[in-house]
Amino acid sequence: MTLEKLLSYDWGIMAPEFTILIVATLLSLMDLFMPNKTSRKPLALLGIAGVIIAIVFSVLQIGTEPTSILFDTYRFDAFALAFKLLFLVATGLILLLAIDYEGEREWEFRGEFFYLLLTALLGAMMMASSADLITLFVGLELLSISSYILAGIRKNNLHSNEAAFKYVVNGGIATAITLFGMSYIYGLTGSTNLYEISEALTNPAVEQNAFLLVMAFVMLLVGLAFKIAAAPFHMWAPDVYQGSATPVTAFLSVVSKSAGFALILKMFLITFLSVQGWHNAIILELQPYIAVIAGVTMVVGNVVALRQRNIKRMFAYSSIAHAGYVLVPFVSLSLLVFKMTWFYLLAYLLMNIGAFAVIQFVTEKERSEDFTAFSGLYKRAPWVAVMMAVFILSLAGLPFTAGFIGKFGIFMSSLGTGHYVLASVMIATTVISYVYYFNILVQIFFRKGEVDRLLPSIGLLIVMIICGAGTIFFGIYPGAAYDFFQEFDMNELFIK
Amino acid sequence: MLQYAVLAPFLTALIVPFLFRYIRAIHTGWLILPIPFGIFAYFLSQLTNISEGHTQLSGIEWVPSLGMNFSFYLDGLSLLFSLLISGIGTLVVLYSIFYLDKNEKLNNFYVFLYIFMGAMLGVVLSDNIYALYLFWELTSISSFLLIGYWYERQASRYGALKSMIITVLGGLSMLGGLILLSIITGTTSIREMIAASDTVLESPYFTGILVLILLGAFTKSAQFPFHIWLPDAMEAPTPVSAFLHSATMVKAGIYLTARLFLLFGGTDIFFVLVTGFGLLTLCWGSYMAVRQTDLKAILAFSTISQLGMIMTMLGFGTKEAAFAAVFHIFNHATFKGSLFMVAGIVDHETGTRDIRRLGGLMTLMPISATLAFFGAFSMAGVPLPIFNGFLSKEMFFQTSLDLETTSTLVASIAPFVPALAVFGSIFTFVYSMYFFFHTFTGETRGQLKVKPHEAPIGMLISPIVLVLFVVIVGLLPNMINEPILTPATAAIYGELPNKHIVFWHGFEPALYMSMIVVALGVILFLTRTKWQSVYNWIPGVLSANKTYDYLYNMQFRVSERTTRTYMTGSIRHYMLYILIFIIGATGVTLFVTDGFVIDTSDLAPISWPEVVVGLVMAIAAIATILMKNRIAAILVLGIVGYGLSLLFVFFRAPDLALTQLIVETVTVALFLLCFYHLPKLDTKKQPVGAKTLNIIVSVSVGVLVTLVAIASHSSKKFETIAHYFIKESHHLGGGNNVVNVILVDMRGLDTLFEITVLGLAALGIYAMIRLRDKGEMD
Repeated sequence: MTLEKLLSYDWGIMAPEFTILIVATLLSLMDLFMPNKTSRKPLALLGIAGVIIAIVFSVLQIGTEPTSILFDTYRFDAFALAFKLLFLVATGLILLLAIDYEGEREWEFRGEFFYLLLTALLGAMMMASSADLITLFVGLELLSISSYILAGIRKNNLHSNEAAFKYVVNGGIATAITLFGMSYIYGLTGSTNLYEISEALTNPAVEQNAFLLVMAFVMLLVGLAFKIAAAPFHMWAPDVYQGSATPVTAFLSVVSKSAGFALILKMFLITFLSVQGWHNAIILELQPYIAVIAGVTMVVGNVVALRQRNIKRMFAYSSIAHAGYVLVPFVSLSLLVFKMTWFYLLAYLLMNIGAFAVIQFVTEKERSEDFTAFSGLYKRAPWVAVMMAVFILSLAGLPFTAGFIGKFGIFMSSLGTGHYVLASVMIATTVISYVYYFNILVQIFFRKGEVDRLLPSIGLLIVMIICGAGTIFFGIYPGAAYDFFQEFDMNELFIK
Repeated sequence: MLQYAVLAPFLTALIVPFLFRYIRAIHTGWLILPIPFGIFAYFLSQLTNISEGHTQLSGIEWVPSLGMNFSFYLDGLSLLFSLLISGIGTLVVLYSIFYLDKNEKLNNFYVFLYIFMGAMLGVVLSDNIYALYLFWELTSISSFLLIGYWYERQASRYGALKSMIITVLGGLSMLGGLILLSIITGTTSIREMIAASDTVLESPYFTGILVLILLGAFTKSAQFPFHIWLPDAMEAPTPVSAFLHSATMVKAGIYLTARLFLLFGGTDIFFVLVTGFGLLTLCWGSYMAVRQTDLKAILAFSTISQLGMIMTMLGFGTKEAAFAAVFHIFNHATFKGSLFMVAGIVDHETGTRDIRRLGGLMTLMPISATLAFFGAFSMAGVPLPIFNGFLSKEMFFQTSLDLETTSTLVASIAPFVPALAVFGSIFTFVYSMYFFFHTFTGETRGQLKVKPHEAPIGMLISPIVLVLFVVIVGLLPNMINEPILTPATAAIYGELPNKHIVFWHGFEPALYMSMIVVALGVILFLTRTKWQSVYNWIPGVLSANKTYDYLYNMQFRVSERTTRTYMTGSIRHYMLYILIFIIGATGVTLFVTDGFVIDTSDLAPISWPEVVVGLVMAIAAIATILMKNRIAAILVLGIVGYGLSLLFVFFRAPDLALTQLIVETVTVALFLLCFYHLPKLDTKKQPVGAKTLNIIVSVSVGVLVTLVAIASHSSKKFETIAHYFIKESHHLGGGNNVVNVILVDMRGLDTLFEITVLGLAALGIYAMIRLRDKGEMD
C-alpha cells in the first residue's frame, strides 16, 4: 500500500470514529498524567464533548453517498450512519450517568471507566461500518473486551468479579463459535468481504452444499445471539448486569445489544439475501432458527423476570425479553425490517437508559438493589417516580409511549407476513411482562417507604428528562422519528 | 367537534390534581361535574341531526404513514353509546360526591374516572381501528386503576390485576384481528372496511379474524368463560361499578360486535359463536347470581347474564333482534345503574351488602326501596307497562322464536334457543326478587353496626333520574324509538327498522314465555330454601376461576422452576445449554438438508502401524478423563500429543513431527508447573444423572463435529491452494521446505505478530506473578 493510495482515501467518512478514538486516547493520556488523588470526573465531560462532536459530524454526513475505504473493508452508508447515531446518543447519555455514579471508595479516581466506554463505543461503530469479516470481528472484539473490563471494574466487589469472570468465559466461547462460523464462510467463498461473499455464495456449487452454509449460519447466529443476550445464550446477562456498575449495565443492555443487532442485520442480509437454499431462498429456510430463538427469548426473559427481586436482574431479564421482540422483524423480514428495528432500538434506548438512570438513583440512595427499595418513591421524589412510570409503561408497551409504537410496528410486521405463532407469543409474553413491570409501579406508588425527600443529581436529572421527554414525544408523534429515518436510504446497504 | 368531546375529559383529568390540592373547601366532584354534562348536552343536540340520517366525521391525523389517525365518526350507534357514557357519567359523578368523603383520595379517583370517560367516548366514536384499540386498552387500564382504588385491600389488588390481564389479553388479540382486517381490506377505517365487506367474507382468514375480534369483545363484555373478572371487579367503589362495570365499559364488547355486524353478521360461524356464547353466558350468569349473598355480586352476575342476552340478540342476525338489542342496551343501563346506586346507598347506610344480614329496610329507607322496586322488577321483566325491562325482554323472546334462516346448521340449533332463553330468564326473575325482598322486606336479620336511615337527597337524585327513565320508557317506549333506537339499529344493520313498540301484542308465544318465566320464577322464589342445597351443589367448583388462578400462579411456578434449573449461575450448566443448543441446531440442519456426505475417493491407504498409533491415542484420550490425579492425567494426555507427532512421521512430515514434539513437551511442562499451584482435584462424586448428561452431551458434540468435518472434507469446492505453494515457494521464497517458507517468508509478518502477542502475554503473566509475590493481590 503506497502512501498516495493511503492519502487518496476519503478519510472524512470516518470523522466520527476518529473523534472518538482521539478523545479516548486523550483521556487515557490525561488519566496517566493526572495526580493520583485528583477526581477523574472532568474526564467524563471531555468524553461527552467528544461524543457530541461525533454526533455533529454524523449528522453532517447524512445524505452522503455510500463510500468505502481501506480495500472495501470499511464502509460508510446510510445503514451504518443510522445505527452509529443510536450508539453515539446512547453512549453520551450513559457517560452522563457515569459522572454521577458513586462506587466504592476511591472510585472517583478511576479514569479508565470513562475511556473504556469510548473504546467500546468505537468497537460498536466499527461493527456498524465494516464490510469485511475481519474488521467486523475486530470491532466485535474491541467492544467485547472493553465490556469485559468494564464489567469487572469494581475490583473490590465480589459480584463485579463474578460478572467479569462469567462474561469473559462465556464471551470467549461465543467468540470462538462465531469465528468457527466465519471460517466456514471463508472456506465456502474464499473471501472475507461481505459483498464478495454474497456474490460467491450464489455459485451453484455452494447451493449443492447448503448444509455447510447453514452450519456456518448457525455458528454465527450462536455467537451473535450471545451478544444480544438472546435465549438460550443469555445466561451471562443476569449475573453480569447485576454485578456491573449501573452505567455499565445500561451500556451493555443498550449499546452492546444494539450493536449486536446491527451486526446481525448487516451480516445476514448482505451475505444471505440473494442465496438460494435447498428449496427456497436460503434466508427463508433459515427463518425457523431465528424464529425459535426469538420465541424462546421472549418467553424465558419475561417468565423468569417475574420472580426476580434484584432490580438489576429483573431488568436484565426484561432486556433479554426485548431482544426477543427486536428479533421478530428480522424473522418476518418485511420491507420495513430496518425501520421497525431501528425505531424499536431508539425507543428501547430512551426507555431503558431512562429506567437505569432511575435505578442508579434509587439503588445508590437506598444502598439496596432489592426492588422494595422503590417503595414509596412517589412520596419521596414525585417527579422521578413519574418518569419511572413513563419508562416502565413504555417498556411494557402501553399506548402513548415510544415503546408502544415500536412494539406495535413489530407486531404488525409479524402479522403482515403471516407469523401468527410468533405474534401470539409476543402477545402472551407482553401480558406476562405487565405483572412484573406493574409490580415496580405498585412499589413506587402504592407502598409506604421512607419519608425523607430525595433529589437526583444534575447529570441523572438531565438523562431522565431527555429520556422521558423522548419516550413520550416519540409515543405521541412517532412521525418525527420515521421522517428522520426516511433520510437514510437503507437500500444503500445492498449497493456494492 | 367530536375530538373535543373526547379530549375534554382527558384535559379535565389533567387539572383535577390541582383542583384537589388548591380548592379543598369544595368537593372536587362539584367542580368537574359540568364537563360530562356539557358533553351530554352536546350529544343531545345532535339527536335530530342523526335521526335525519346525517352522520358526522371529524378528526386529526396522528401517524398517517402507519394509518394511525384519530378520526371520529358519529352515527346512530355511537350516539346511543355517547349519550349513555356522558349521561350516566354525569349521574355517577353527582352520586360519587355524596358517596366518597372529601378526605378520600379524590384526586386519584376523578383522574382515573375522567380518563376512563374520555377513553370510552374514544372507543365508541373512533373510526380508525388503531385509535379504537388505543382507547380500548385505555379503558382497561383505567378500570384497573379504579378497581384497585382501595389498594390497601388484597381483594382490590387481585380483582384489579385479574380484570386487566383478561381484558388486555382480549384487547391484544382484537388488535391482531383488526390488523389482519386492515391488511385484507387495505384500509384502517372501519367504515371503509365495512364497504369492502365482500373481500373480508371471501378471505381465507375470515374465521381467524372473527375469532380474534370476538375474543376481544367477549373478554371485555364478560362473556363465558371470561366473565370471571367482573365479580372480582366489584371491589371498586360503587359509583365505578355502576358506571364501568354495568353501564358502559362492559358494553364495549357489545359495541364492537354491533359495529362490525355488517362485516360478520349473517354468517353461520358468527351465529354459532355469538349466540352460543351469549346464551351460555345468559344462563350461567343468571344461575350464578342466584347463589350470591352479596348485593353487588348479585348485580355483577346479573350484568354478566344481561350482557349475554344482548350478545345473543346480536348473534341472531335479524333486524328485529338488532333493534331489540339496542333497546335492551338502553334499558339495562337505566335499571342496572339505578340498582347499583341503591346497592351503594344500602352499603353506605348500613355498612354491609350481605343479604343474609339485611332485611326490613323498607320502613327505614322508603325512597331507596321504591327505587329498588322499579329497578329489580324491570330487570326481572315483570309484565307491567311501567317496566322498560319487560318490553325489551319480550322482544328478545319474540326474536328468539323468529329466527329466519336458510342455513341447516342454524335451523338445527334454532329450536333450542327459546327454551334456553326462558331458562336463563327464570333465574333472572329469581335473583331480582332476592335483591329486592331480602333487602327491603321482612325482619332485620343480623346486627348492623349503624342504625340505617334514608340517604341524603343528593345521593338519591341520580338513581331517581334513572328510575324515571325506567318508568317513562316503560310507559312511552316510542318516545326514544325514533330519535335513538331507530338510528342505532340502522347503523348496526344497515337498514332502517320500522318498528313500533307496543306493550300488548295479544296472546302470543312470547307472552306465554314471559308467563312461564314469572310463574316458575315465583315458585322458585317462594320455595327458595329448598333449592339452596342444589345451588350449592352445582357447580361445586368455580372452574373458570380456578383455571385463571392456576394459570396465573403457574407462571410464577414456571418462573421459579426455570430459575432453579436453568439460570443456576453455574458456568458448567450454561456451557451445557449452549452445547445442547448447538448440537440440536446442527443436528437438525444435518437432517433437514440431508447434508452429510462422505467421499473416500481421495483418501490414502491406511497401514497397520497407523491404526495402532491411532487406537493408542484414542485410549489415552479416554484415560485422561478417568484419571483421579492431575499429574497423571496430563502425562497420559501427553501420549496423545506424541502419538500425533508419530503420525506426522508416518505421513513423511518430519519437520511437523519435530514441531509437534517440542510443543507437546513444552505444554506438558507448563501444565505441570501450573498444576503445582492449583488445589487438589476435587474428587467429589457427581450424581449419576449429571454425569450421564455430561457424557451424552460431550459424545454428541464429538460425533457431530466429526460428521461436519467429514462432510466438509468431502465437499471440496475449490482448487486446493497447496499446489500454489509447492509451485511458487522455491521461486518466491528461495527455500525448499515449503512449510518453512510459508511461516517465515510468505506469512512472515503474521508470525512476527504472533510472537509479539505471545511475548506480551508472557510479560503480563510475569507481572501478575510478581504482584502476587509482593502480596498486592487481594
